[in-house]
Amino acid sequence: MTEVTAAPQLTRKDFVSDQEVRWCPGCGDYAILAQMQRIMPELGIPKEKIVFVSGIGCSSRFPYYMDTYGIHSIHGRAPTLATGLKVANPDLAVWVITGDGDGLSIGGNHMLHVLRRNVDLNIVLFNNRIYGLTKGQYSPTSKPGHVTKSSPMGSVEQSFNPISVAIGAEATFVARSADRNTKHLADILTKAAAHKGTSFVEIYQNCNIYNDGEWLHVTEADVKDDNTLILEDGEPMIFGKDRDRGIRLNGLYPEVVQLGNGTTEKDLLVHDEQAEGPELAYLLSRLGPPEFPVPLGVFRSIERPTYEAQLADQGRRAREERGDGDLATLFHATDTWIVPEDSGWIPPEQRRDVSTEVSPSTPDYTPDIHHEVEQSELQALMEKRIATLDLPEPACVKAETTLAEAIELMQDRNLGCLLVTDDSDRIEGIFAQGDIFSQVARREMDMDTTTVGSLMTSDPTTLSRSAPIGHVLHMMAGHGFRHIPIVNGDGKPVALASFKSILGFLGDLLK
Amino acid sequence: MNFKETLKAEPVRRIDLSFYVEVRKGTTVADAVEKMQASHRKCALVLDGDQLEGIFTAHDIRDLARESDALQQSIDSVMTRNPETISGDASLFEAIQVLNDKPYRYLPVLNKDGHVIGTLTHFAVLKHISDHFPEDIYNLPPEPNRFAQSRDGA
Repeated sequence: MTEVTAAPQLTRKDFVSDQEVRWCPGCGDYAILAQMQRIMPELGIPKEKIVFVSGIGCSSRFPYYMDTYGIHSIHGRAPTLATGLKVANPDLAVWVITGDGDGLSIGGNHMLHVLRRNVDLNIVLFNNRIYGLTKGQYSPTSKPGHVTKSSPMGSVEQSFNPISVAIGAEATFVARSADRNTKHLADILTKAAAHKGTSFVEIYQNCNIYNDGEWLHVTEADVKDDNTLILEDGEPMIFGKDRDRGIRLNGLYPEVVQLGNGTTEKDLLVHDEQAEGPELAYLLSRLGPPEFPVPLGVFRSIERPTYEAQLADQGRRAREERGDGDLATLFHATDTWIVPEDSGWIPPEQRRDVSTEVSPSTPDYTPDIHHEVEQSELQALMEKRIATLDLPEPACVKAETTLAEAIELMQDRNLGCLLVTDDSDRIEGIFAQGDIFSQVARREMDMDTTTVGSLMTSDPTTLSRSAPIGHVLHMMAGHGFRHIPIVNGDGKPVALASFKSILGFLGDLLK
Repeated sequence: MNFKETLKAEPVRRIDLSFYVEVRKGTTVADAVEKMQASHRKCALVLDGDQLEGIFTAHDIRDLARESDALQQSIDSVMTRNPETISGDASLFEAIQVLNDKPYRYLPVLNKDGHVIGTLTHFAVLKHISDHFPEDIYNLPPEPNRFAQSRDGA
């Protein structure tokens, strides 16, 4: 028997990497790093089972500084890598470190969807309301009116509230803390780690170079108690240095009330982070200065099945019901083709120059003669109209025409296809050689009583004579139509385009 | 490389030549039609061992449709014997000329040993060209006139 030895108890030092931390001295990121390294040993997870994934930005340097696995990935795309990682390795503890720029600007879309999917990840968004790495442009969380390098007259943009966004995106765990609120921060990070499903934690983080003091009202010791509301599950919402104020609901809207003079804790709103609906969490997310304190803590923490568990379950069920799949069969189940090296296949970027770039020496656009010549052959598909094609006139019959009559007509004139028109001579169907096929094989129907109307394809796709020829090929190659009736403005067929006529046109282009 | 050069460089054997079925010499028309119908093909090549004997297509079915005993006869008596063929090594450029100059809808494709490797069709050529130039053919608006006539923005 193998002897099982207990994993050694890890300490904070085990999570400190040998990398030189490159953040600016005094950056709030350091505080967050410290709390993360503090809680890690307490989670009891082996180091090799922990991964930090980040995007781009100051905050995204975080993985270098944790002595765990880490990926400094693509701008805004940390949630996608983290999702793949977690789905493929459900036993990993995966953290996503991002910022207000990385997570809400370029990565805003990925953020929404990872939250909605409820992948079991812990997402930590450092919000400093500025682009720090690029040296001080306004971000999606910068306040309206904020003067920055890219908004010298003040930002004219409404800012995002990350908590509101996360709740709107159906996140199952949403919390907020602040870099300098160390104990609270450690507590929130621990709760985020414990939650099954996507945890979203916004951390108010100070950028002391480009946006210094942004969060002073919630971090400075002498004012923070008056300006913050610490959310505690099941507890009435009381705040203030003297804990003498509270949040009360007046109809649909919250208000700040002074306790005493008949107003007691019983009148106050009681926090319920496990409420199934997002209403209370959303209402709380909107609180803030000047009228209200800023809520810190867990806004929402509900249970829902995780993405990776459901996905794994589906895979298991599919195996049970249908047996093991075969990749080769799946691969060949749809259109496939081989592109040989010497096939003459042309990479898209070399096909033809559609660039409209103008070189400095030629301020006006001048056609590149060489490219004009190269393009000209297939350009004709869009430049020439169907009217210029030499198409046969279609043979038209009525829906009441019998099969015997139709076949005789097709044989006499060697046609592969007849058009069916109504009493006003407008097209109502198409009857092709292939439609006879199944009838012949069955031998059941009576050629003299079966009508064309019963076998035709009704309401076929048509084109007008003025349409570019390319559209005929588009319909054939892209949609699989063998014949395209060409109609006039009244819907009366005037010509019939077939594979042969289009290949004839292409053949002429080559001459 | 432009359109013409592409077609000159591309051999026929590289495109989709699968639009046909193979049947043995002596098969009844009924069996051949059933096989064609089952695989949604409108062309059957009639083989004697490895050797191509004839071709039977939807056109022939149309012509047989009104004959009451057509289905029971041997396909040998209704197929077109010694059909024109094309080499798998011929270029698509050559193939397009052949398809345009001759009345055939299906051209059996043979390898160097004279064995059938497929059947060339108009559709396969059109599809192949379209796959090579998707920007020109697939990326078109659903309605010819319903697209932006001028560029929007910078």
